[in-house]
Amino acid sequence: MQIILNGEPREVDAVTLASLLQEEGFSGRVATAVNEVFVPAGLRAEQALKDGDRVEVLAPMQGG
Amino acid sequence: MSLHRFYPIFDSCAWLRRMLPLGIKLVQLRVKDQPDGIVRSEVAEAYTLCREYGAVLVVNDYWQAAIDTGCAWVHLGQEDLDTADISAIKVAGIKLGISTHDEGELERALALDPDYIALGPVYPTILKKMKWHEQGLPRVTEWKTRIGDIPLVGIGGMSVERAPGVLEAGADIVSVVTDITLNSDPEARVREWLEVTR
Amino acid sequence: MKSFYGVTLANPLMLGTAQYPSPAILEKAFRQSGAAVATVSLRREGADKAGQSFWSMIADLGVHVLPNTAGCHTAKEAMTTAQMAREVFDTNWIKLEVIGHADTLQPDVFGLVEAAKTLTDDGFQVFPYTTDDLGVAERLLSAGCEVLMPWGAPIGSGRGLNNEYALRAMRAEFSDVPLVIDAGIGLPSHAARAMELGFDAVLLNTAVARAGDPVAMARAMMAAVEAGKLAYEADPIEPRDMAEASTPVIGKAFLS
Repeated sequence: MQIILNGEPREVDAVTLASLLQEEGFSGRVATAVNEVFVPAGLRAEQALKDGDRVEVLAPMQGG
Repeated sequence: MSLHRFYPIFDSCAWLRRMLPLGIKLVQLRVKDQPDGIVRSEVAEAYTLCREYGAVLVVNDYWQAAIDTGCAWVHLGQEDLDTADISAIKVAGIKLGISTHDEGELERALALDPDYIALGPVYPTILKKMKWHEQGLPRVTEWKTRIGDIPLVGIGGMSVERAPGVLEAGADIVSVVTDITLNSDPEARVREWLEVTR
Repeated sequence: MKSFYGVTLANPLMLGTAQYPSPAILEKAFRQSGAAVATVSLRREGADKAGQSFWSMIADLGVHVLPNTAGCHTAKEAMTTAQMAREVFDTNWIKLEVIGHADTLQPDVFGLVEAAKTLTDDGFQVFPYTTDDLGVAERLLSAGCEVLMPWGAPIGSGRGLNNEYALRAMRAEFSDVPLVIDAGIGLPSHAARAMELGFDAVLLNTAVARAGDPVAMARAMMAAVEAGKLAYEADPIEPRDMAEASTPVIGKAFLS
């Protein structure tokens, strides 16, 4: 299906958020949100993705 | 008000482990009649589970364990108020939910600057032997008028069917125990609860 | 020294991690200054997985991590950002920024108070970046904040303490609350001044990261906050308009 991952349109095979992270090779310290709502790590396997979903995968970065 | 409207109460982490993955966002751990060591480990595990699943955890009664674990909320019944160290709880920055059943108890609770007020039993409850049989919906409305912006939690005999009426009557949050735990399919029931309180 | 949500810091310097010329310089600035707290943020993770290596470096420094909600303009954005930061950095500490104005980057105080309430309800330990308005400060404390971080001057402006009178009033009004001057510091003398006023810590970023020699500036900032803190505790003299001779006149020879 087509989703928007970190602002970029992407064609993906994954049907859940957890499998999306695996497919895209994200690991380590990341946090996820779908359609501007936080999805905690424990609920990623339950989070079904649908066409047009906006997924954000965030990681640590410098900040002031 | 930022707290979720659906507020189930469970007596062990076994229940939390089963139910939190369904997407519960506000939950109370009410451990009863267990030795201190068990209480502490239940509270500690509940804290970790709630962080993992993005839920707000309220610890019933065991305020010292809550302080030691770093929990954000404690619920106290009126009997608990007799022995709890309220200033220690406040100094630790912990938020307080207090049970009330009548005017006198409400006054006592309001004097402590609580972060939510619970009113029960809205409907007759099988769980506790109480001197109050049923508060009823008009009492819910009356309580909400009295407490204003403080969130009002309705508890006692709650069910999925009764929830919309209680929220309509003025409760901000609906709390529930046996409608889930004694149901033949608790997972399905929790899904219904989440749907009706969305 | 006042504690911050139960944590006693080794020193009153909090340093941001943005805009350094390189990760190596950032690391040196922290190690050589000894700053106890690092502010951090979140960004979209790219293919280079830069986030993971930044995280290892920060973890190695052994500092207290204070994630921020930089770039957020609404309470809702700030809440979602905070939840994600908590999961990534594994801390309940959050530097709450809800920005209201594009040029001054000053806080949107209404959104800030709303977000503070929602965040404290969810167990966050909030460090709100706020103005010097005492009414807003009261509201933040009622919302559940136990620390306040009033600005010295607009973020990155290097102006120092724009309204010292307001900051003094805030210190006097909230004598038991840990107060951190955050934003606008440019020079060590500004940081020292903040500590002389009795503030509990100073948070700065641009003054160090964009200095010609960030490592030297970081060391200067640590020296400054230590000097300011010692001075405050040493009960300094009051300023006066007229002179008062420092050398006593008793025993002076009559030579005219």
